[in-house]
Amino acid sequence: MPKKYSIAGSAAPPRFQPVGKFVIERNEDECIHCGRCTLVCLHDVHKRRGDDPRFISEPVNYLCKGCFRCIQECPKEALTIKNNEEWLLLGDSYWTPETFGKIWYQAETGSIPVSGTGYTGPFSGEGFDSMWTDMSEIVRPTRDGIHGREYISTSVYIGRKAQMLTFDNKGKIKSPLPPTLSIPIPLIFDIIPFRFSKNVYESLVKAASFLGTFMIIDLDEWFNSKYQANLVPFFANLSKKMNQKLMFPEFEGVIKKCKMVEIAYDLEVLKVVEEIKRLKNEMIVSVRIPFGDSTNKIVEELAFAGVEVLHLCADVNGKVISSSDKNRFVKDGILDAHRLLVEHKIRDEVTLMLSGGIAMAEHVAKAIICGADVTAVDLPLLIALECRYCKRCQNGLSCPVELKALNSDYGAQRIINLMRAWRNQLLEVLGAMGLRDVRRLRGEVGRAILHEDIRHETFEKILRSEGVTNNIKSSN
Amino acid sequence: MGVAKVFRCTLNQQIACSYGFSEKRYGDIRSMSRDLKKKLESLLGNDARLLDGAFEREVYSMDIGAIPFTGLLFDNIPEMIIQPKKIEALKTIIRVANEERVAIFPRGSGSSGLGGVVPTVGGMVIDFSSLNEIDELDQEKMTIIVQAGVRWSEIENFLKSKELTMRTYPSSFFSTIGGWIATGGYGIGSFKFGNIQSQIESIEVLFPSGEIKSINQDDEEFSLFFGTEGQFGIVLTATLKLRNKPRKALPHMIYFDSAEAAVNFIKDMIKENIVPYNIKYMDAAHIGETNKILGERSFREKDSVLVTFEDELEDRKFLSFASNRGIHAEEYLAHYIWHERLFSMKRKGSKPTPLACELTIPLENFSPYLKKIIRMSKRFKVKINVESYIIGKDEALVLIHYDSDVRNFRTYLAHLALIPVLTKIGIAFRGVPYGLGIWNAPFINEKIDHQTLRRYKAYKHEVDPRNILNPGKFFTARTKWANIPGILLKPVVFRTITKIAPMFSPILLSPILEEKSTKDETELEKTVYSCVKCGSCASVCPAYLITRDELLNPKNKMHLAKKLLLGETITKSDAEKAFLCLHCGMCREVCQNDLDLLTAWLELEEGLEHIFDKPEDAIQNFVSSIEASEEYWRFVYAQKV
Ligand SMILES: Cc1cc2nc3c(=O)[nH]c(=O)nc-3n(C[C@H](O)[C@H](O)[C@H](O)COP(=O)(O)OP(=O)(O)OC[C@H]3O[C@@H](n4cnc5c(N)ncnc54)[C@H](O)[C@@H]3O)c2cc1C
Ligand code: SF4
Ligand code: SF4
Ligand code: SF4
Ligand code: SF4
Repeated sequence: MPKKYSIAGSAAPPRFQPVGKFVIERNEDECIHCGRCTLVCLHDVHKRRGDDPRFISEPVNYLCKGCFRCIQECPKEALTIKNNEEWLLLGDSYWTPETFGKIWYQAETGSIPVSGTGYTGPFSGEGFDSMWTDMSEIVRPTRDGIHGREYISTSVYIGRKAQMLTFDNKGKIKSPLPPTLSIPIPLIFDIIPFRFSKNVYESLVKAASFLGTFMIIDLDEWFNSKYQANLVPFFANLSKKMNQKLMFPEFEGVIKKCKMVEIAYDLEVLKVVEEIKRLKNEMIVSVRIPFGDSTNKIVEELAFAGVEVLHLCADVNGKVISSSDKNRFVKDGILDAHRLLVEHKIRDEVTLMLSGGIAMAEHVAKAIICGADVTAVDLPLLIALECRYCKRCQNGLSCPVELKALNSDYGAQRIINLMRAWRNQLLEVLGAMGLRDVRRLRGEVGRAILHEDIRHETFEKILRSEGVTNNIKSSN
Repeated sequence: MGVAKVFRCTLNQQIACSYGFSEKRYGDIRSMSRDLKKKLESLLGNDARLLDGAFEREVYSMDIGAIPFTGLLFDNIPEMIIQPKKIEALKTIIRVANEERVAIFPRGSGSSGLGGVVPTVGGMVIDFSSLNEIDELDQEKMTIIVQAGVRWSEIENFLKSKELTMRTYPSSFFSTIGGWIATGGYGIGSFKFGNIQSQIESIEVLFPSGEIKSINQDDEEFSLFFGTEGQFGIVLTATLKLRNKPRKALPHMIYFDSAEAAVNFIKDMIKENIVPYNIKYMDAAHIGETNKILGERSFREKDSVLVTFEDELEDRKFLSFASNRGIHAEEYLAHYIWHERLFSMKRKGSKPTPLACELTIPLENFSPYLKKIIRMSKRFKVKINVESYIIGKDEALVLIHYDSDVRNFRTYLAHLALIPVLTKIGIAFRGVPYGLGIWNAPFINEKIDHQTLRRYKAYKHEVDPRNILNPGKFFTARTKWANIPGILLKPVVFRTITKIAPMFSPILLSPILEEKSTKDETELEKTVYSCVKCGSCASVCPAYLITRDELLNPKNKMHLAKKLLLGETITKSDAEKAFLCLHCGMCREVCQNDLDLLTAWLELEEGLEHIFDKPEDAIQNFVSSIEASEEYWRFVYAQKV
């Protein structure tokens, strides 16, 4: 059995106090430094001062879970708690404050956030929240089994699987093996939504290298790095440039250094793929296809043409791009593409990569259930670096967490911590479903419950009996 | 042995004998003390704490008066301080002390002035702070048995949930029951309920012989223990009579144009048979002081009377009586003044050191007396302010306060000399000094009538033949140096001094010697010289109460701070203790002089850090051990509002 892969976490406390859900205020005029709050708070919000334990530090607000223990126990009623206005303003309807809180916690600690007793929801909603995984396996391994003794694999391959192996008389594989890459987690780092300073990219690539995965980066942002092998350059207008014979000198150099490249989809994309393969045959080429109405057609075309990796990307909120149906979500798109390839019996010849809207560990699992082989994360990586998604930097304003001054080793650690926590959650899902390999999860829609299906089952019969005829599914 | 000591030993003994009190002194204090300490240690085990560190002995050599030249006249540094935790232990201590003829100085919270707790001949201080158990509450009979070291505030806290309360209490709420029995015993509620003697059913007394006796209010001996400053026996426990807790206090404050008008108002009210719980008079200067504290002129600066009722019927009677007399202050102001009754020392003068004179005087002589002393105080260039509790139909307890500054020593001496002058004038108005201690001992004949005094002396001879209890004071102040300086404190001489003091005051107070500016003094300086060493802070300080370490006692830290300011040597281990403070601010809340103690502690630590390093480990251990103490949490939760 191969050596077990595990990600070592290491505490990376925030440089700036994160926005918390609550604001705890301690009235220094009332407080008698009795220390009760420091003893009753389970979340280290209240602490005696390190340099002089006779004094109490400012409450570390963001750690507060709002349990009210300290409020009740303070003998001097010196503590008050209120909702944090800033918290409510964080992110948007998709990237909710809770998501930020979870990512920050995971990036700091590397552990799975605990939220009191059991799953607190949401139980149903839009996007990934409209499906549930079936975690009812009775003989599931114990938790320490999942993270310890049991061997559960989370690694996936990128590239085409050989359809059939032929051997020579010495028992050696004869047929040329198609190039594949193996990554230990079904996650690669996608192009991050905003442009950033080099130290931010450095953090990302260091983490990618540590984890053994890859990071896609726009060629415009390309930089020389010790970890170049983990970079996947993205070329936006390659076909146009090739037509105009505008091949730039770095192109070959860049290509030589990488194991994988990504190119934007356009009508002449196949020519470009061919050209790259000509330069370097073992290169894995991924085509970035924006989700839209014609996605299926493109997938079909490229798959049959032998493109190894199809990267279907939605917008940052997981909504499909250029679609007549504005509410179509990335998981529905990938499900369709997956089913199509299965129908054509060429599913294993392509790697389906999904990006857009991956905000939590469970989204990774759900994306895979819907048919993705690999997911690509974007915004959570930035959030792990304390980004508040306020977009001030994009408007030339100062960054509240001074990402420009970020130390890349520290940044890398926060991302590694986040990935560690996500992988551990994935292991729990797999364990609970009785699976030992994440690849077995792919397309296991049978092991998931989709909100649409329930709706359909529950209401259609009733409505039909009531004489309502229009299709419920489309009334979405 | 120095010549002086030999002299003292022999002569003192002779003089002592000539007074009828034998008094053995040590040849060599130190070696004797060491033997005694060993002996006591083995006898007492864990039932008492024995302190003999230099710093502790120093702080136990003083009371709130802290008269700077005490050490010149007396051996005021005790050889040892004992804090018994059990009555049995105390019994052993007294027995040994009696056998060995070692002087004993009982000490409650040390809040009385006049030197009542100050050692005169070395010896041992018996500190009652650990004999503070509340033994038994009888809700039916409405009585409570408490040990002598219990503080008034502790009884009040204990009774909080029981719908019962005390009848009277001193405004020094932080002082001990034993201390009030032994001293004046008049305070808040005395108009209605009389003095401490009338709210006690019985006491248990320990005599130098080792005998413990329970003495009932009906016994002939009973009255001998009230106001006699621990001369006859040590009070161990007292059974206090309680009363139902009144639902509310109804204070009224009325302004008058003169002290005379105010006193007439009080007299008329008493004539009308109106019985308030408490009657208090304050002169215009005192009200001015209150305005200064508040930082605004909320009160009219006039002579005023605060009358407090608890009974609504009585209150209505009063209102119809008072309706067209004086000017009635707003209700909230009356409530404020009533609330401030527990902070009688609060002051905001430019000079830090408060001085006070206390005496009782017939009500009818009250305003002429005031007129006279105001004139006199002007000669001493001080601005006095006066408050008074009316403690009977025709008697007032008068407290005269004024501010000085110990750092301007000559001025301070002159100001100090004013105290006996004020007392003497009071005596001329048929007044009686409130306590005797050391500094009022010359007035014994004015305080105690001839017959009673004879009885006292005979009783003293009977119960304390070796004169081990509080020697060298009360009956007569006996100083060291063969009591030669003591001549000054002999009634006849003393009277003459007080007579001529006003004549000398202009010399001492000559403007050339007048004050240095106090403008840019630090908070610590201000605090140190304003602290009256009343010990109110000690009654709430968790650090002190949990550790029972006298060096952690905020009052004593003030003494350390003073040494620091004066550049005196401080040992490292003493300095370390100053850091063992939670900065909780509880001391600040009850500080009688409203001092900014939190800032003072920070400045003290800062000053010490310049000499020694901050004792980080000691601090860490201190915090951990405090947090591990159950008593601490009980204490903290007593704070819960
Ligand atoms: C701010 C302030 C306000 C005050 N208000 C009042 C007031 O309203 N009314 C009033 O009467 N006084 C008042 N005083 C004076 C003083 O507080 C009281 O006299 C108080 O009762 C003294 O108690 P203590 O515990 O401090 O006794 P201490 O000062 O420690 O001792 C007083 C005397 O009693 C002796 N003694 C102590 N305990 C015992 C014992 N168990 N057995 C025998 N002898 C003992 C001591 O030897 C000493 O001679 C006030 C003082 C201050 C500082
Ligand atoms: S409310 Fe609870 S979690 Fe928040 S600070 Fe208080 S004790 Fe800690
Ligand atoms: S419990 Fe209250 S009084 Fe105690 S340290 Fe905390 S805030 Fe201060
Ligand atoms: S602040 Fe320090 S000295 Fe004052 S009560 Fe608290 S522990 Fe005691
Ligand atoms: S600090 Fe305040 S409360 Fe403490 S002894 Fe001094 S005056 Fe009294």
